[in-house]
Amino acid sequence: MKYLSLLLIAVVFFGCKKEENNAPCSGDVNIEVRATWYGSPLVVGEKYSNSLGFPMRIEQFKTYLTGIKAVRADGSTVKISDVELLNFANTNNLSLTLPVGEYTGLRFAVGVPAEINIGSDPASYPSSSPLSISGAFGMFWTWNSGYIFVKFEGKTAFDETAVVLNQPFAFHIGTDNFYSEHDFALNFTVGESPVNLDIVFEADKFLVGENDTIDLEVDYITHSTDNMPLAERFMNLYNDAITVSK
Amino acid sequence: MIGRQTYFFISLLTVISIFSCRNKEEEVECLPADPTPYTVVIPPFFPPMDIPADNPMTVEGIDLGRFLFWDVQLSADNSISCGACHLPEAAFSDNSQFSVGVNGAVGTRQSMALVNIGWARDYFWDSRAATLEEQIHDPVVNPIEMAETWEDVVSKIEADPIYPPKFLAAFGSTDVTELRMRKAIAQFLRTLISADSNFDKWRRGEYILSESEFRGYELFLKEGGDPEVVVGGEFGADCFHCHVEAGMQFSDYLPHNNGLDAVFTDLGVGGFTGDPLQMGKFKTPTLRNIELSAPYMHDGRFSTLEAVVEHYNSGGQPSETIDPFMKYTSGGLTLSPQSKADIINFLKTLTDTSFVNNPAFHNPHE
Repeated sequence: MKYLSLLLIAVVFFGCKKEENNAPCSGDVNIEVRATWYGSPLVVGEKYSNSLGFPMRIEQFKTYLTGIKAVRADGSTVKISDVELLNFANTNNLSLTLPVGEYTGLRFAVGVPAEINIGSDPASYPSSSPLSISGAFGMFWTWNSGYIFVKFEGKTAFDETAVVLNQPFAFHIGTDNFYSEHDFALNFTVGESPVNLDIVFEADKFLVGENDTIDLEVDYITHSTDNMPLAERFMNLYNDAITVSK
Repeated sequence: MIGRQTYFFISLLTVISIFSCRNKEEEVECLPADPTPYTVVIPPFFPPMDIPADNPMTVEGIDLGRFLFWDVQLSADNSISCGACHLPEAAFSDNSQFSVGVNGAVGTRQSMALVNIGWARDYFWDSRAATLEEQIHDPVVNPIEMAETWEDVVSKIEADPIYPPKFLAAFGSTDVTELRMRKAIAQFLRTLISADSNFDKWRRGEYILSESEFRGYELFLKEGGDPEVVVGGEFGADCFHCHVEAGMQFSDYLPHNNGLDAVFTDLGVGGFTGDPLQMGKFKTPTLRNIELSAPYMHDGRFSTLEAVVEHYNSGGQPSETIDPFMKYTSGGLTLSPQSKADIINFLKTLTDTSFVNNPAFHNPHE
């Protein structure tokens, strides 16, 4: 109780007092996490053409981002979120406040870190957590295999004029091998005016990148452990397709 | 001596308590009921159960819900109760392909098993009801089920002398309302917990799976098909992606098209949402007690587990909405007869006779 009282007093005394000091100690930041298809917003369920001219449709695109942090000019970091499960069928906005000051970057990882991926039981999380059984919502299958870090699936056809798309493709990436940390340089100032940042997944580049192209007619399915080489190729492309901007 | 900080803390608590109980009227309304809180015991490896804040479980609420679940007065001609189509011996499903409603009406969908339903979500085969409380509304008014109006149900229940004391005990007054009935039935349904199958016992270290059962379990968890046909095939049955074992549920409770038809006679979720990408998709049912809840699929087209396994083994019918996990529409899974038998033996380890025989779930009117 003593500690609690001390804490309460500390909060009262050290909390920002706007009436004494007009400068606020934190500012609003909005991070929009979105996906694009050749530069336009990706619409899940919409029919597109791929680089080979074949029709295709992305029906599910979900990913875990963990350890999301903002990097301050002095090199220290401020936590934004421990874990987010992003479903690109919806809009994904992270609204938060950060301490005022200069920032030089954003850090996060695709996937779930090893210490919580295997061995921790999703049944132990409250259902409000994105790591719980219901929160993971199709991103966790069995008690000993860990989380799915990226789910990218849909249908295609191997005929430019096809109307019916019934060739499924599915990239389901999991296992600790594919936990990938990203460190993006991005200068921004948190102050009185809100800051808008974007984390963008260029979905067309998941299949066609600078160094590799995945042909869905040949390489259309991986659940990682069953097809590690394809999972690795996909993740190399995927990690290169993420950018941040303001 | 009371320190300054402690004093401050006590003052704070006092302020909080004064403000939290300032509404005397509310308190008075809730006091006479004083129902006994009921805590759901979460079985090993199960996730927490989400219970709506506006419908906390109580011993009296569950009891009322059980009486209502088994009450034929919920149907137009007082002939059937919820339990008439959700029979304990069939894992609270119906062994008829289509249940028979009031006046002999027959539907087009198989009765869904009520097993561990408190962990499920998006109820009905077409996932159209978000909560149990919402779900309970429909069967009463559906013309091919109970064909009754809730107004009539309220009148009949009000007039039945066994109910006023039960409503008083559960909700603090004898008022009979549709909402109270739905809440009470939902409370009862959340107690239908099955967690004592041989598989549960195996996970708890109290049972040893036979060789065949264990092989079946491995096939259940392995990627399907011939690696020569699709990279990564493990000659498994690939059941686990939708019948998710995590949390011991054996369902992801999401809608999928498992390749039953190329042309849909029942549009499933798409029929409700109108979304072309949802056509022919149906909610994944749990596999718990699946041995008891024949026939299978949303339309009960398969009368045996053998026929179900054979469907998946065949690969199914391709269509625009077929699930990407149904990836062997040409060629199938090529499971051997022994593998198919092993999978069925594994599925039977999910049978829990203590659940279906639990007298607390049976008809209290008899």
